Amino acid sequence: MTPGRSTDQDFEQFAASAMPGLLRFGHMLTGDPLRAEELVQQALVSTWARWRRIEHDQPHAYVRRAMVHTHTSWWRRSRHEVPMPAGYDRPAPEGTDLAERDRTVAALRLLPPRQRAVIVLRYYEDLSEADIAQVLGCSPGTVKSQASRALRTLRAALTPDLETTSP
Amino acid sequence: MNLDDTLRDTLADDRWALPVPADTLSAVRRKRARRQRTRVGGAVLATAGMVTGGVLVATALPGSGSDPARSVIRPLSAPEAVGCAAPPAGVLPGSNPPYTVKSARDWFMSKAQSDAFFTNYNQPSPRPDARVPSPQPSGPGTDRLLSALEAAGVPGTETLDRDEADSGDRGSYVVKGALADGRQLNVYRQRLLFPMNTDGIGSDGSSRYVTVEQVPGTGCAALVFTGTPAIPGSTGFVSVVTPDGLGTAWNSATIPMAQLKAWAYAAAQWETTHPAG
Repeated sequence: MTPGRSTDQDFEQFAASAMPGLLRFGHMLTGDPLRAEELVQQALVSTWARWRRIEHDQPHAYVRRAMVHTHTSWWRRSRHEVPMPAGYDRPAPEGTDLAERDRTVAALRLLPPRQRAVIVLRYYEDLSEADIAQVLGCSPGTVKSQASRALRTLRAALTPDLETTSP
Repeated sequence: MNLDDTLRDTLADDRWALPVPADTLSAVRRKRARRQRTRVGGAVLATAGMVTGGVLVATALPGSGSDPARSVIRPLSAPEAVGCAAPPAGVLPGSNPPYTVKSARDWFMSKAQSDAFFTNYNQPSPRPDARVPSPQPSGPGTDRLLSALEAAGVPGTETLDRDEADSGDRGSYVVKGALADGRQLNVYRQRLLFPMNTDGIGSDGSSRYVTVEQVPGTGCAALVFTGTPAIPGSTGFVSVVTPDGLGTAWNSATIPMAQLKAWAYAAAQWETTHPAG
């Protein structure tokens, strides 16, 4: 805790500074801006309740883990539906970079939440397997196997559009 | 472009960015306040003697004053007594003279009984691995709890959140959140390691806010707490306890007590006729 500041003030400062990144992470997980906002709110409420225990120990990892767990729980109840993210609902012209991104986003929707989280943490946040394992609360071996399954699914979905040079 | 590059390119797209709504932090504050209010019922239960993962809330002990700090007294020789494999009906571990639970009602005590019980009671400590990160993904504990809610006719349970290790306690389950109609419901399930002092729940040493009754058609007993002015913002709760000490507390700030009780009893009746496999 910062000297002279309350625990609540410290938490709110953390939440305000982390919010843009968390919303983006939530959008990547859920594909829906409103669900992303709800996911972030729920994760922050949970984080606030444990703030004293985690403020000096990776609060960013904790809140992301709470988001992944909550989203997984939602996904199981929603018959595995993942909406198309905002801005991706109108197809881009074929042959453009945007069209390739749209196809990739559509392929990402095929992944279950934890695999999607692994992909986002690896390819957007550039986290190592060990760091991803810390965020998700699992072993690096589990991260490796989740990533492998996710890439297999994505490769199968995108193969006609890719030069398959990645492992 | 290979798959790695495609993924990096796609995830770097600005369309993923979302504007930060002006009221997000306010919404978090409101949700936190609501959660704190509705958890008062659960906290009262803990104060009355409900154990979380084998850790005793010190206020349940005679002469411990109002210090909310948790105290662990000594390790229990039978480590499986924590969590799902907690003590069955019979002699309670740590009780001296031996306290024998013969029926679900034996999990509830008056203050005098409770004082006598704790005079020579050695509280088990949690296993070293009893603490786990929370929330934990859905599992058999919350699956079972949710099935009981659905069988009881609780509507819109698909919107509730689940945690297989409430507050990081293995063997402590919770299903909570807003139902589809927006009403908040929290259902906590834990093993009791010792009986509740029902007189302590009202915070004034009396049992006037508490009734203990038999749940029809089951071997369960229920404690119904209506809330007390002594605890500002406290909400009522219904805690159903099986003969072997599995406690399920139903709590809500917005659902009438009669409805809460009807659901709690119906869930207990369903679980009685549909034992866990």
